[in-house]
Amino acid sequence: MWRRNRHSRRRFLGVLGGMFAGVMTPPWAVGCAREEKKAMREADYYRPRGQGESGREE
Amino acid sequence: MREVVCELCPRKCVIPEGGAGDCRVRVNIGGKLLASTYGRPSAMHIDPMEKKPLYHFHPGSPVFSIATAGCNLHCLNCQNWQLSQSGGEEIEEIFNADPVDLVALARDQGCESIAYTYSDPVVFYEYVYDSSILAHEAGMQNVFITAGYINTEPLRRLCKVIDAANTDLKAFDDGFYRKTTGATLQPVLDALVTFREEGVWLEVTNLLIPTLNDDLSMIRRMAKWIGRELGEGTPLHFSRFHPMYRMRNLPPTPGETLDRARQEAMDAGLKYVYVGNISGHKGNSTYCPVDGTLLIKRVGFMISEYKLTSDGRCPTCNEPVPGVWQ
Repeated sequence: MWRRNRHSRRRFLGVLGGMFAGVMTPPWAVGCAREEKKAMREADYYRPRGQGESGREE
Repeated sequence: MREVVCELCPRKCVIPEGGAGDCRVRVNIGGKLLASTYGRPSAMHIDPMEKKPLYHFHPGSPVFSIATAGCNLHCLNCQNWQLSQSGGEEIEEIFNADPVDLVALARDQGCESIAYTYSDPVVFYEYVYDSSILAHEAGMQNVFITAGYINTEPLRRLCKVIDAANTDLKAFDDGFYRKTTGATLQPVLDALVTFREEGVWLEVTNLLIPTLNDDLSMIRRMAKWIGRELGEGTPLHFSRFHPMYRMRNLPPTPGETLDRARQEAMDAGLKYVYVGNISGHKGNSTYCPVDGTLLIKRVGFMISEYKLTSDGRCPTCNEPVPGVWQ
């Protein structure tokens, strides 16, 4: 089959290569992703449920 | 479960740990409410100020415009629904631009102002606030394009760092708000008054949707309220509806409807009433309310004639035109 259809073979190898590259994400790239997560900022206007605006129980 | 109550907008969402508010982007992680789109805009463009629309604020100037995912309204006719009705997870392009990067980027692009727009910037409040402070320090101006569904306390704080706002008053009817947007009318009216009280330059937009909010008696009541509470010099933009998102069953707004609405609002006392989303319409331009002189001629978002004096007056009768012109 591969001899008859080299386009299909290339596509198969491309997909396989992509999957392999995805699995083999270098550790420093994982670290970068974690670093980005830290950038979330705490919101300015919220309170724990159960405390009224003046600190009273709801 | 450490639940939190978000107090930014009138929804006051109770958010369980690991969950998000109605806007999808304010998330409870470990009992802390986090702004998940902080520093992560999904749209960045340079627009003319007229596109916001702001017609009386630095006309013709380029404005660096950004938005993140999420919105606290769910309008059936949303034009930016891919952005606004998403928590960001479905959006392919998310940029990393913290407030320092954002201001530097806007300056590098030659913009003297930043617009927080497209989706509703209320949901990325902290990003707007921090960026606006830095923008002011860099000598730039901040423009807030919003539906105005926000609590008064956070809005008052934001007004200290915002220079201009265009607020979408979607209808003068609470039933319309509930059915079409999932919000309510009164907080929006409160926000409009707060902008005015805090001295932010304010313009109002009303998108006219055929059969839903194009009743002339309602338009008259809205115009009267604007004149009484915000001032007769407050620019009002009637915008043309196009079928979009979940409201594809209605036709675009006929030009005559927009003409009638404009006339009704002017008869109710408003001095600067515009028609938007129809390029080349007479109502795109600014006229002197005293002698009718054409002051700023607009074609689409472009200015083709500008006759205001440097201090914002009519050149023939010297009538001052409210706005921020320099």
